[in-house]
Amino acid sequence: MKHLMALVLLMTSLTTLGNDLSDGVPEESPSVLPADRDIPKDEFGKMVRQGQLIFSDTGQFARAYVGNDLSCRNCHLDQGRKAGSAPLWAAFLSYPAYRAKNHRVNTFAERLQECFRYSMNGKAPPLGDPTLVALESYAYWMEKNAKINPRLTERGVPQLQKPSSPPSYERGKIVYANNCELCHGANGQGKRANDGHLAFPPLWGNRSFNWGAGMAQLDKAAAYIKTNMPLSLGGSLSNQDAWDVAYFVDGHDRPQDPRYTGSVDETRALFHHTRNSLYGHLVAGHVLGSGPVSQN
Amino acid sequence: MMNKTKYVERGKASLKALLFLPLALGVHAESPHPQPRIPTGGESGGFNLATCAGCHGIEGDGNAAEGTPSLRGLPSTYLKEQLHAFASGERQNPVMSSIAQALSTEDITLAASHYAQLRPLSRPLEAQDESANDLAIHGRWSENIPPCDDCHGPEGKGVGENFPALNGQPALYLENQLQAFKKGSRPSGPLKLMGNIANKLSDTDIRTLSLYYSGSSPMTGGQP
Ligand code: HEC
Ligand code: HEC
Ligand code: HEC
Ligand code: HEC
Repeated sequence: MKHLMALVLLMTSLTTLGNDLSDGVPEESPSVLPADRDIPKDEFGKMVRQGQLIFSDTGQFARAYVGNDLSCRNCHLDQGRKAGSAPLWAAFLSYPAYRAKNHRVNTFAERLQECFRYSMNGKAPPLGDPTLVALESYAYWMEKNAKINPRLTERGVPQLQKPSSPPSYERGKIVYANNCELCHGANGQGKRANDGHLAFPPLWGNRSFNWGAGMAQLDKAAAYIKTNMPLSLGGSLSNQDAWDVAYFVDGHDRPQDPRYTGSVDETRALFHHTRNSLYGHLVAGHVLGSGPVSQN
Repeated sequence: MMNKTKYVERGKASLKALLFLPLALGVHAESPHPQPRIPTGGESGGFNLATCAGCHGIEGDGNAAEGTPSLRGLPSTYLKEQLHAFASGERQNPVMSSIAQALSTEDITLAASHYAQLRPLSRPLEAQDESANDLAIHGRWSENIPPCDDCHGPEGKGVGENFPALNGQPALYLENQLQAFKKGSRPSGPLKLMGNIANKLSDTDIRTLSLYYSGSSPMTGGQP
């Protein structure tokens, strides 16, 4: 029944965009995603659960492919459900797609591989690897059982207007001290819970995402932070503050870009030739990408 | 830092001393609303653990029936802030306010470091109600409520100096605090995070979450 509903809504989105929703979902209501208890108790459900485990605690359940302290859920909030944090279910609907990053059409599985390589600073699981199958199953299950509001574009991270003044490291430092340090620590190293689990993820340093990750791009980081941070207070920072603090966060060194050619200048020219990347720039007395990365 | 090591010894000494101070323990038994008296003496002047033990227990375990919190293993920064807030009246509680007002800044530091170094309570938590478990572990993002465990740690065992453990606290105490945040009779805490979240919780949320984190079974109505 739910399944049918999702299908109907999906069809609506494809054919009659703009018509009233028949089940009375208010115009601005975000899509409704299924809860964990709705995961079926069969063989497919087992794979979905495995995918969710990997998503929530990537270092434990996909250890071979992870090179930092992060998990997918640290960025994709509500275990991949939350709009504004590049939700997994909306991504599932959006591939295969052309990506300028590698100049070709990527499948969903290939997109997942990239997250491991860059955001997780690890290795891409080979196509067909159970890790990818589990994540695909989780994404598919979530999308299939969602009541999607076709009026909203919930994919990705919403674009953020350019700031009125160019982003500043110095101002960002103050925004960080006032709004972020409490959780992410004075050195961006994050914090562990008293039982040893990671509580607040590292934002820079050698246990965070690497220079190839989406979050290392100023526009994406600023938009993500504006929408989602400080945790539970998303939307509370001004646009200017969000850009400034994104500049401060991305103005710190982190693990090397895996596409590194042996020269920071050349790597910048090939892969970071954009205003949105600080890679190769001199920021606060340090050429970003030249290491060494602090041992957080 | 040197201070801290020195204190640990002092803390132990006063704990020993307190075992010979049945007087303090009587305070609570005599009447439900005892006039707290701060025994003077001791190196620090105003602070004597025996006073605190009268209500919070010798080991700092708290008292479930009275809704008196455990202080064991709570972070010292947090404890200090709470004692200062009681003293200034920002955190409203007549009993604790008069006790905290009698403490010097040094007393507060001593008390906080004493309790911070005790092994924290740790109870296995069992979901008694699906929605409490859901809020604790998954949050309610449609209202921008992250999982409680995101800030209070897995099973509410606490994170660092600013996010107190909830695990094992009396259900009555937890409930009182969430209501106090909501009413504004307790400051909202750093970045107003907790006040902001409590405002979004319904009375039912508050009751079920309090039971959940207390680790008590529903059959015994809040008693462990
Ligand atoms: C450091 C934060 C971070 C981590 C960790 C992370 N991601 Fe992402 N991810 C992002 C950001 C930011 C984007 C959007 C980037 C963009 O638009 O290029 C994204 C995009 C994606 C997309 C494509 C979304 C779309 O709509 O095209 C998928 C799928 C994805 N991530 C899956 C994962 C998985 C699976 C993991 C764990 C193995 C993971 N991510 C870990 C930050 C992260
Ligand atoms: C109350 C604690 C808290 C505060 C304050 C906070 N964050 Fe976060 N942040 C988190 C948590 C927790 C996560 C991971 C979310 C999850 O796993 O559910 C996170 C995730 C992130 C991420 C994605 C993960 C990563 O490692 O890159 C970024 C970026 C981020 N925060 C930046 C900020 C910035 C910038 C600020 C200040 C404007 C801030 N945060 C304030 C708790 C906080
Ligand atoms: C007469 C009983 C009584 C005595 C004596 C007492 N307390 Fe309390 N204490 C309480 C009660 C009740 C609360 C809960 C107050 C509330 O609901 O806000 C409390 C709360 C606290 C808290 C807040 C804990 C938290 O998790 O936020 C601290 C800290 C504290 N007491 C420290 C002390 C110290 C230190 C002493 C000794 C100097 C002491 N108390 C003596 C009854 C007492
Ligand atoms: C965004 C971070 C955050 C989240 C999420 C959060 N809390 Fe808190 N909570 C705090 C902070 C910070 C404090 C300390 C407040 C202070 O210093 O006065 C606190 C304090 C508390 C206290 C008082 C503890 C004591 O010993 O007196 C209770 C009870 C509590 N939280 C319950 C919850 C519950 C239940 C949830 C989930 C619905 C929750 N919190 C979610 C940040 C958070």
